[in-house]
Amino acid sequence: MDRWVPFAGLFVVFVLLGTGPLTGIDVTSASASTFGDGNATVTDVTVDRSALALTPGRFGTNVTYLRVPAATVTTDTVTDRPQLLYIVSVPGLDIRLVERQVVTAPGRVRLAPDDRATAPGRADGTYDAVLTVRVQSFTTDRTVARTTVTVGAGQ
Amino acid sequence: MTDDLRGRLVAAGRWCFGDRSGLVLWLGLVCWFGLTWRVGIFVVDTYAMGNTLVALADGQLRVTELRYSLTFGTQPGLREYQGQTYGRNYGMLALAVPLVWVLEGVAAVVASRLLLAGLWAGAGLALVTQVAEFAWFDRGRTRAAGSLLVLTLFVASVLTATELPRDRLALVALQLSTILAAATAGLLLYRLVDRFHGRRAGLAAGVALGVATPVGFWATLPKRHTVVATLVLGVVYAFAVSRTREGTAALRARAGAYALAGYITWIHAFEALFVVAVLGAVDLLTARDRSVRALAVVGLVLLIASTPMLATNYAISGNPAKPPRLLPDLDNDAEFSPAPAGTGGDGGGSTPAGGGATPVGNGTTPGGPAAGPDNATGGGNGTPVRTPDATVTGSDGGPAPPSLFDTVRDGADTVSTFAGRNIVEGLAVLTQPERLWHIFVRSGTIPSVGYGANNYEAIELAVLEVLPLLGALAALPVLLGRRVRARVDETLPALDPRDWRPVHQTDLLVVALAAVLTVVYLPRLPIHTALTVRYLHPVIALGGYGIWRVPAVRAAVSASRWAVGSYLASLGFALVVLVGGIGGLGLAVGEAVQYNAYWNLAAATVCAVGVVGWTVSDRVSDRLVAVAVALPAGFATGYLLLSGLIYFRYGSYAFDVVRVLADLLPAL
Repeated sequence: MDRWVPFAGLFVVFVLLGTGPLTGIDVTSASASTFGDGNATVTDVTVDRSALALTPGRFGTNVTYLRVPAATVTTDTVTDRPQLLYIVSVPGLDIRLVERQVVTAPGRVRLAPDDRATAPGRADGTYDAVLTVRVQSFTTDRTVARTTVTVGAGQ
Repeated sequence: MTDDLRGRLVAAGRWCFGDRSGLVLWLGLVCWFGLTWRVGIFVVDTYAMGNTLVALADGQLRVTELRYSLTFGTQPGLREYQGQTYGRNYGMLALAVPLVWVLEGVAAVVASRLLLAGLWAGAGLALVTQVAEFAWFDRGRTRAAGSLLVLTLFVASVLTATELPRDRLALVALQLSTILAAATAGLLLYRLVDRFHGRRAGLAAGVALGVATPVGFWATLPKRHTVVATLVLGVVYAFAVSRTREGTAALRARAGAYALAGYITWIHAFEALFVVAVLGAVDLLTARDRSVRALAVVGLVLLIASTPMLATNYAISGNPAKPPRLLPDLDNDAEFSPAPAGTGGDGGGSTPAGGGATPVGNGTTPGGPAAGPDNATGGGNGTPVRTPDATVTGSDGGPAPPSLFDTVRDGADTVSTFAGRNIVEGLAVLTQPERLWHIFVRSGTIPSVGYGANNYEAIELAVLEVLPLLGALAALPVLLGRRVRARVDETLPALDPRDWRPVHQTDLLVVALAAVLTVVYLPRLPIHTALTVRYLHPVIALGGYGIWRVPAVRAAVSASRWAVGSYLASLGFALVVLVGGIGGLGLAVGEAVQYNAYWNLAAATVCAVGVVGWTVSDRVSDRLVAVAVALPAGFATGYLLLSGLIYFRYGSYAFDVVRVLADLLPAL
């Protein structure tokens, strides 16, 4: 039982040296946010448009929040490392939210931008919002879904 | 290993850590801070710090390479003197320089990301071997189980490892330096409380500082606050030792306190000024030895400890009394293209002149205020730079050194301008109850704070919200009342502080430091991007000592298992309601932080009621007060964990296994 610690220590050193510049074996992968070439075929985009809203902040946050619905994007085929972008743009409030995710395999991806606070007293009318989903890589950049929604404080 | 060498290592270990408990605490805190460590930049000032560290590790003070940059423009925190660009907080960066060298050296044979995993595993294995030596653990089984756990985490980190560019290692070293400093703060508090109240209370205090106070929040965010808080605790510890020892040992400890206080001058001269002044006053008031020899020793030590600061200032501006913070900001609108290393001279006009006119202290800096209270005084404009026409061309092209008289006069000007103004303005704030309420008790959306820098998210909390254990101080009036009555009953009250018990002399130093360091920062508060009122970080660390001076809090840990069980149950409860709230209520960042703050305040109230109840009544049991104290600790840990995993996202997790786990949690 007493040999566990030296064994573990040697194992750690062995792995560190065995995967370093000396051997040239690289076990690290690209960062989850690093995109590259490639493409993705999008078969379905679901966004609950009615969930886009301006509502007061809670728990003492004296601001109005733009509540943003998540977008669920289904991909059919994926090659290499493209990324999916979900862009929520409200020009009247000077807000542009971009949520991105690199995809490496087909399936369903949920893109959920954080709600965005607006300056106190700023969001007091109705505003046009544009919700866009794009596929982007070094070799492609195209819009696969786009919709406009009117959002207002009293809606 | 020879017995002699082994003996020396053990002696050195004992000097640093006190005993095995201290070492375990320190290693444990290092591992804990590593859990939510993200390699990245959270507060925008860190860009300048990282770049200055790169310069310092290359052996120069001036910044000539922008290794870390958000934009191609300049960065808050950089200073300009005669066309050269400099950083600040050099004393803090100097501590990180050896780490840069070691990390970059080892990275020649180990991949950067795996190097971090290896360091974590190494600390974990060292922790396992030390924990296994405790009498209440089975040595063999503990070593086996601990090693397996460490190996599992290591293998998981390797299997999920993502690339970490080698040029991030200076930033990693900077973060590692504050992680080590924060763990050292816990160790110092352990040894301080242990000295007066025994090992159990000491350990609880040290652990609590790391897991239930903002010290844990800032450990991986490389700002000066962590290092200054650690040094301030070091000053208090050395002072306490000096009061409990005799003769040379006492004088050595006393000199140690001055050395640590003097070192702060190299990090932040403004804060050091007040620490040194308070230490000097309380020391003279309580010292049994006021001989010329003793005063000469501490004075000399203070001068030696301040020498790095004086030398750095001299090398930069030719004036030892002018720290980099008093130099003009590098013009924020300037396009910064640093001169390549080695060109020296007058800088070739690579940065525009006239930086002295740059308005500072503006609230538009994205992500963080540019500096401390010196901004409030108008930055470099308050003390004109005396630039002689005939400059002596040294390697840095600095001007001719001012005379000693000029230097002293400059120093005196600085002290009277900054210290006087901040104290007067700070005292004036004490007459503004609403402002004090927002600083110390409840934040919410504070009217005077410019939230625009952080997308209008109300993430700036008040002191009690981030340190709900302070609720325990509600018992102070009762305790003070008792002490006053006892004093009156005594026939010969000890009015002379020199006759006080060491613990009360230490209390005096802590109270004086906390009061002064609070008052001088009040003019700046509340402010955006303070998050946990970070300007009061050293005061918060001192609060970590104050809590354990309350007898009820020490009674809470009198039954170890019950105390640990209560804490873990509180933490579990906190995580359920906090994560449940985030998922169930669909909270945004500001809402989630404020929701957490409300829970913390509720826990602080329970703590206050429990502690006061125990103090005034025999009917409140130790176990009950243990639950009352554990509740705010659990919620404070919840805030630290969720800040690391949910609330604030930036950079990349040092250990990818944590990233994988964090992805499973509900997002904001």
